[in-house]
Amino acid sequence: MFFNDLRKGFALTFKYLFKKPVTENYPYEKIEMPERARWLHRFYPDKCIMCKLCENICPPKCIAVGIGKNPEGKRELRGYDIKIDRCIFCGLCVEVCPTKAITMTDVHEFADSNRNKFHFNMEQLSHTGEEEQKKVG
Amino acid sequence: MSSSDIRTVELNMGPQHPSTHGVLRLILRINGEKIENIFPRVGYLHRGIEKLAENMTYQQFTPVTDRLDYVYSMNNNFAYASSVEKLLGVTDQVPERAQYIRVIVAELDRIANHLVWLATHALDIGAMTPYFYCMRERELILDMFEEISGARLLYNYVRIGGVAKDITPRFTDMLKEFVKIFPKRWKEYDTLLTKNRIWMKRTKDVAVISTEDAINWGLSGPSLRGSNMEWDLRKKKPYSVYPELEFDIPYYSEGDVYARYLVRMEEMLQSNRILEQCIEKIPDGPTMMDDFKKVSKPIKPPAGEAYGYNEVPGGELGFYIVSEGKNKPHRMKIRAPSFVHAYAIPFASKGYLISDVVAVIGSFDVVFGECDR
Ligand code: SF4
Ligand code: SF4
Repeated sequence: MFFNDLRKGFALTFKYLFKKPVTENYPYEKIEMPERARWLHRFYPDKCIMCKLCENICPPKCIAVGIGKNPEGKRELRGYDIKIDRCIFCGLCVEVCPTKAITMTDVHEFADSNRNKFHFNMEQLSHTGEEEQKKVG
Repeated sequence: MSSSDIRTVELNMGPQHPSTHGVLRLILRINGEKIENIFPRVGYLHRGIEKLAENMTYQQFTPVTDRLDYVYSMNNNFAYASSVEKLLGVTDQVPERAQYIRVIVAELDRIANHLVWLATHALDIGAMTPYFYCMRERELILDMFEEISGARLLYNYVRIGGVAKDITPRFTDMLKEFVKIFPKRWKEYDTLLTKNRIWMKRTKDVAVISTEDAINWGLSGPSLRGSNMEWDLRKKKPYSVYPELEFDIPYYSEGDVYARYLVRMEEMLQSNRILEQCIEKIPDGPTMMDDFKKVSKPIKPPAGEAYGYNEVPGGELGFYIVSEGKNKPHRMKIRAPSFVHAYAIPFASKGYLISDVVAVIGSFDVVFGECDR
């Protein structure tokens, strides 16, 4: 009787009035990312051996490795594009790469309303993270 | 108004209704407030995952299984990996440490799923506070998963032949901390809801399903255990390292929404118990079979078929894979508990009131990523 069940509940919620909030003040205070965070890729052109393993494993097929021949007839890397809007951030490309030429960083604030901006080319991908530091510092 | 003016009305509920958990559309045939019949319409989230599987290699499909039921992705990965291992006949060669890590992440994910279920179920029925408390604990679990896999929702962590990476010392610390505080936090949800008279009025004697009906409708998991059936694949058809762990199967005989609520609440504590034992028992060693270390190396199972099943938070998740000896499956059928449960909603809510339909949907824990596939 005397609404004991409800009283207990109210007592519990009342207690929380005096506790600190557990939420994070996100856009103003950055959250620390773990080491294994799977976000925007970073590409190292000199390490790539043009094996195309990443292109073949990618489930939504959003990586394109451009390979051409230089005047001496040797294979050379012409381009490396990722359509980030189709990427599902599964991390398989990073795992298959034999030389760690493609890696993932913790850069995650690249939202945009223009879809064309999500076609990242080799130039952009090889400087991932640097721009961010400029903005902050 | 004469009695001839009273007629059956059709009412559309969903697909954007806040308590149909995603994109379920129900056509209710009502007489006054009473439900005469319900016609579920599913498929708004259909992505053709079964067909996609036929065009992907076995390893490529792992991240896609995440997208089945996005609330318990780890369990989906686990179920898929063990099905492919069954097809390959290597189930007992998976390293012991990997087995334990799989059980740890699966049980953590079970708690996370039940927390989301409790939060939304309570919110649907009108209790708002549990939502915030549940999300607070779920956040701890997501932080742990982010630590080991790098992602917060779609993990791609449990792989064919083991797990993607070993767990870190920081993860172990977080896990120990979580296991300690969780029973205390569980007590809070219990205080708020279990004996609450409004909660009991809304859930007791609503949508009663007898044991026989539950079996005939193909219910599984907590929804079946609420109908006086002691059935849990982890105990009845043991896989992985579950036989070495001690835990009980909670089941209740009432068969109503309240019983299903009690089963899921109890299960969270049992999962916590399993985690405690896993921390003690986890051995050192490799976390991946040598044959599958390279993701780029194609897997070519011999021609044949296999059905692998796991007890996921929602019920029995099964993958039926037919192989023709190529590196891609010939056909894959996914037995999703949500799909079965969605079609038991009409049966369960016939004769009850409109507001009870919300409680029924919540009590079956249907998620539409998995139902529509
Ligand atoms: S993370 Fe996955 S989806 Fe994204 S580019 Fe790499 S392989 Fe493709
Ligand atoms: S897998 Fe690595 S080395 Fe091979 S093409 Fe891709 S980035 Fe280059």
